[in-house]
Amino acid sequence: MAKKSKVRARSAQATNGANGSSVDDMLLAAMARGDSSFETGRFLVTFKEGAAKDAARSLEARGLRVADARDFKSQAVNVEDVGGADSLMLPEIGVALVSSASFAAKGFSVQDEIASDSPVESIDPEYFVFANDSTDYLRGFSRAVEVITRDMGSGLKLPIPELEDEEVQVAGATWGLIKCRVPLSVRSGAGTKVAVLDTGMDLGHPDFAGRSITSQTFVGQPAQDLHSHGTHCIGTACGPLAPAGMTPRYGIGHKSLIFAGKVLSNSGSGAQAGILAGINWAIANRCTVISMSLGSPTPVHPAYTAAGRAALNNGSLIVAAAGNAGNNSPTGAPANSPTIMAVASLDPNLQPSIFSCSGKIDIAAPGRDVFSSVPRPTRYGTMSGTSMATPHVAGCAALWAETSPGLRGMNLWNKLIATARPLGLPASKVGRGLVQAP
Amino acid sequence: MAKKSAKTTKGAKHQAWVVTTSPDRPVADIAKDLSAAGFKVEQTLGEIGVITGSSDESAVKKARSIRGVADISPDAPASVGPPKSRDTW
Repeated sequence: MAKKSKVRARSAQATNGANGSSVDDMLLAAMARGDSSFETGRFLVTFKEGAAKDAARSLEARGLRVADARDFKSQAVNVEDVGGADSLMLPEIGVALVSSASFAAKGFSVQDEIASDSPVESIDPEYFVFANDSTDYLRGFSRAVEVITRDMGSGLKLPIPELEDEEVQVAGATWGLIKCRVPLSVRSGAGTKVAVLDTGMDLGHPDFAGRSITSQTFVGQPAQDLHSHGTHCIGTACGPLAPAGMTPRYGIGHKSLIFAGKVLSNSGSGAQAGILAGINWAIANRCTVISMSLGSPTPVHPAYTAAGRAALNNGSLIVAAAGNAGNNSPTGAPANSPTIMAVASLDPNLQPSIFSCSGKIDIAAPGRDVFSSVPRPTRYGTMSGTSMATPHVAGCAALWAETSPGLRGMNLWNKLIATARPLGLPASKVGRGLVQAP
Repeated sequence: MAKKSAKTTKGAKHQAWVVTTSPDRPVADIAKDLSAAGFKVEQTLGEIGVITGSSDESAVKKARSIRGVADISPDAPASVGPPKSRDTW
């Protein structure tokens, strides 16, 4: 057909970056102009139903050269192949794609008042679309836009963003995960058993579909979490790599095997006997990490010290929350036992949270305004406490345990301490510093 | 003869206790001795060497001298605050 060959005769790559642009070219151009709106720069003209016949004519009347999908075999048109045409008509759906250069030049505008007798229904920007599991791409794109925009003033250089220096929050992960350098880690906690002794878990939460979950109750109520605390802590320690939709990543050991021990009732309290039974169960099941975001404002309890020792002797590490009684209050039990790792809470500015107990503290982690999973139907929520800091340590411990079979018990404890990021603050507040992922 | 139940005995307040044992003796043997002393054994946690149960003060006094008992302390409950609270432990 004469029309087809006329279109195809033109070069596929227009040099002015209009219809001949590849998607990558357009993305780079968007970054260069500091645009994170996800607009491609092209426009879509939607025609009224039945007005498609008039559509091409109305575009040509504006001086646009129109390519038509019908010119291509089976209407299989590659948008990049329309050569020098200013617009591509898609007759089956009544939509025309108009290049950025032509759009302005031919007098179009998205603010156009569309006359009632016009065949045009609507004029809208074209947007980039990403596959749902491309959160990494999206994250990188957003971050790149921010960083390149900031760097434009000092001459364009390709930056390699140092995450901990970035004040800009990356859309793809919680602040806590970023500070612990979790998104940069290649580890998943695969093969590592992580026990979380708490109010149980929402066992049907969609973010945990397909995960290995062993649940056990020690309080006479089903392990199903009707409180929320347990689900939130498990989310931080073991949540998924890429939660559905635009939800940021909030969990660390995304391939860890979850052991949800319900040692606290749905009202949030539990007898020590049940808590000890939970620890016993976790050790019997060879859990490498036992996370305990609970406690009592009491002195060192010998049974917890014995439990912590037994754990270490069996290749398990117990991490426990120091408590929220305030930074003039001493660490509570079980965290205050010498054989149990006590975790303090940090704010986003890496200062100790004002509620975080002090004294016997081994390590610190994000605990303020922590986003994580909660029971359905709400599915997500934000909480604060040394309770939230503790599963950050548990999750990072799982990632470290994955790096070597020798990192168990006391060796794992020592590795967490040795690799913690110093904060220039007293050990009584933050221990050796901020936990870091491998 | 009037039956004297433990509940009506004056001063026999039953409380939850946590017994920490030393590793030099099998924990099951220690549990047996505790029962004999009047301590109501509820859990014997072999991995961590801890026995939990309930007892009045007199049985606890006797139990403290059992070989292998390192410590007997009251059960200390823990809490994380009410459901769906933003501020926790």
